[in-house]
Amino acid sequence: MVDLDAYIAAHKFGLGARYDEASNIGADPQAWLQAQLASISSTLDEYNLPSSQEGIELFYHYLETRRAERANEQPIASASVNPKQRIDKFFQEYERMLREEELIEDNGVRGSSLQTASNVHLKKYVDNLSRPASDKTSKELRQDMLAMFYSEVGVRTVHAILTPASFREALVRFWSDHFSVYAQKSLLMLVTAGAMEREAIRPHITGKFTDMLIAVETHPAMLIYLDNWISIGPNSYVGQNFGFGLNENLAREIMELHTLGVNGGYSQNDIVGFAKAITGWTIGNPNIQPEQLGDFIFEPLFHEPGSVNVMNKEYLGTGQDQGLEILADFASNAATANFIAGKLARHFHSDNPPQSLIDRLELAFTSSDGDLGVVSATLVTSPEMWDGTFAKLRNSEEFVIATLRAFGVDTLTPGQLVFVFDAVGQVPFGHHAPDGWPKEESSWASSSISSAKINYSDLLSGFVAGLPEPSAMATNILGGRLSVSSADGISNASSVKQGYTLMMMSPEFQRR
Amino acid sequence: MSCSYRFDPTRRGLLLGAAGGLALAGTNSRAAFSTTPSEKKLIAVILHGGMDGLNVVVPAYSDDYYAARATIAIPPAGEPNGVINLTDGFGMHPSMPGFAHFYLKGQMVIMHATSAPYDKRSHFDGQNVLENGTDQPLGENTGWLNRALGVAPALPSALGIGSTVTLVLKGQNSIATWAEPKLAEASTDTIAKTMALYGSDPVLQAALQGSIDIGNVIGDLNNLGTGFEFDARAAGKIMSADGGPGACALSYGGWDTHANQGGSSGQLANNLANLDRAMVALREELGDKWKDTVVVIATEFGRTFAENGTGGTDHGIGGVSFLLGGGVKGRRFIGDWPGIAPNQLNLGRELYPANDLRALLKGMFRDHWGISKSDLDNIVFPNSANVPAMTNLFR
Repeated sequence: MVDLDAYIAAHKFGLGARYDEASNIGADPQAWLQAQLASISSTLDEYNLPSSQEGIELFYHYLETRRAERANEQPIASASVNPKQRIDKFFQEYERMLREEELIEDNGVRGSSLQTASNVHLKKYVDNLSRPASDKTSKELRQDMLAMFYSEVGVRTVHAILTPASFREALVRFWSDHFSVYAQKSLLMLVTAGAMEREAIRPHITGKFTDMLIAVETHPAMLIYLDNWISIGPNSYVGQNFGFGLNENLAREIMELHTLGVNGGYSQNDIVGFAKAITGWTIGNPNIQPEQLGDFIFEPLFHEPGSVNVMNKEYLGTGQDQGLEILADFASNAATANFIAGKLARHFHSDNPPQSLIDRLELAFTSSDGDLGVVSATLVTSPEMWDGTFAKLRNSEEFVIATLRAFGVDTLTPGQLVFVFDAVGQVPFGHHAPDGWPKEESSWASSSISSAKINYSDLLSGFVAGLPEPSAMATNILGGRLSVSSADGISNASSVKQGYTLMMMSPEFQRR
Repeated sequence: MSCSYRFDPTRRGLLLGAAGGLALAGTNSRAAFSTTPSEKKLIAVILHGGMDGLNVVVPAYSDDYYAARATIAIPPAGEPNGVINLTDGFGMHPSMPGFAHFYLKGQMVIMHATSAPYDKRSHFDGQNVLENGTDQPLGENTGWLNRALGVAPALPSALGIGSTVTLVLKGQNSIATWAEPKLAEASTDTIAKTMALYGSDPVLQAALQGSIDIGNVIGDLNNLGTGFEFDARAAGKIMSADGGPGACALSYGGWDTHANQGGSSGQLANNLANLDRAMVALREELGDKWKDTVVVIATEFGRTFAENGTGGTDHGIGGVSFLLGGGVKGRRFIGDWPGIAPNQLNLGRELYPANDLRALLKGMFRDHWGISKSDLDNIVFPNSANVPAMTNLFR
């Protein structure tokens, strides 16, 4: 009999046990988890996904192509070298982009079944890859951008299914949700949202929180999502000459959701001060620093000059460094440590975690200067995590990944995966607001999700072949967690297929 | 609210209906409470994508309209494929006989030239403002319908249709959900045996029991029709069941017609026919509860006045909203009509948004659900004391 602690390691820390995984964890589950923290995080390079910079390049190529297909249209880039005319053109193009951009409703999940969903876009994308972008119509390029998004979802999901280090992948999902972005906001988001996780989050999973924070807040996806790329200092050159103004979205959400928390002791004036400091944090585009197309840039013409006051501290007007200094101060603020400790405890332990766990994580964060490797290691050694409770309801994505890990199913195409995630109400990068997916079980224990999960389990059960019968599977995957009532229910199933469905739907599998 | 929404009487074309008065119409307000509030059903239909209001409720009196929309305009009433005449030169798209019937029967009011308080043209931001009930994108992470549930005296329950609940119904007040099954349904035996596993997990038990109960009310899915009618019929069946929810949100997409929009037939016409069929179906399913039901239909923005180079229209601010139901004091246009002569258009490009959608929604909530002014001004639509609730919406 494998010790319960192995199942805690696999289910509460990791993304669910693969077949035989618990028995391979060995006598020291904590060491198994700590080894994952010591390894290097996968940035998924082996899958050759496009970078955010390449995605943005593709987007502008698409816009140019669409324009060339129409009569009497000017190119997107101004031909002038005069900065004033180029800035004028930048705003004209920005407003035109909003006015003309199609709503992204076709996210590839319109198929009526898993079979029809499997072919949507992906095949076209693969067929298209051999052709250079310059040969494609705007319609084909749009499909390529949609396909880029499916590929991101597909790759991160398949990696989560196959990885022997699923605690790391669980941490990736925690931090990715902490810095939630919404891919369907626009085509620019569609081609950058998934890349942000690979480029700004994965490299810092066990690094310093400050480094992850800076990488995220200077990433094109976040700058686009929360509108900072078009935020203009009122006294900057552009603010004075063009009548565009400050956009506080990113500053507010950094303070409320990414660092200090809503009770972090800041005022509206602090938000405005910080928003001014990060004006000029934008993205190279056809009219502004085009040689940096798709990269983060600091644009002095957008930047509010002079010092700002944020939370009773004066920050001198030092250009890009001004915002970076404030970010670093937020990262080391005591409110941030408290906010993040609470979120981690609620995510990995339960909706109502013991205060002692929060305190321990907070202390680890503070005393290590925000070293996320130390914080994660503290989570591993915290006795509260090993108290034998499994109160947290898996959200829909976690549930699907746990089922695919248990049965070792890694053959679903990206289109099929998106279809399945949509059916259970959680397509990755699909939460519209920056607060991330709901954290409490009330949101995931809804009647519609409950019935979608049964239908999905029933479908997946039909795929399973060559594995032990359901009772043996349930014992292998859940071990001592399996209750007598669930074990009885599974062994009394009227078919093998139904037995697998009951295993997935059992309270022990639904919770972690 | 941004200053571009300032009402400027010099822009006014003609005043439609009798909604100008801001004074509280006491008798009408009280009439709304004549039956127990808990029986008052309220349905929000959110049209995602930006519906082209000018081709739905068509200003067929206007030569400017026909000049600007050479290939997509809807002909005047009486001509082949022409609009269904409503009043004063305005007509309903010919694919919407059900809507025209609601209107002519006195059960629908139309608020044209309307918008949520958002004056840019991004879908994301526009939908967000439309549903979050503030005057800025991300101003709240919850929706106005959810917040209204908590302050309506009858504390109505609510139903969300769809695997992802649309923002307007998200929030702290818990809601039931139902979604069209995208995957083949598990057998009743499998569902019953799953239920048997939940004896010691009341949360999972309640969720699954909820889905079983709703499934029983809905019955055979094959009888729900297709497209948006499917969702609308399901909503109607659930709401009209004994103890059914008092509120529901439905969303329907496909309105972002940048290209090949069509005129009396085509892409937009097909979508309008779907919407029309769905609302007729909803009314059918609600049966005698229709007299206590109100449905509000809104979209994030309208579209450009002139058609573009690809037979479609791009995003423009002023759109159209509808309020319908058995108790609605209908057959009226409400709000102001800013006109569509070249000098009356907003930025020369789009219908001027003369009417704040929140005024309509506040009037609906006050008179249908009895929500107080203070709760409407602060909770349902935060910081909106400057937007008076419309009066006289109900008989």
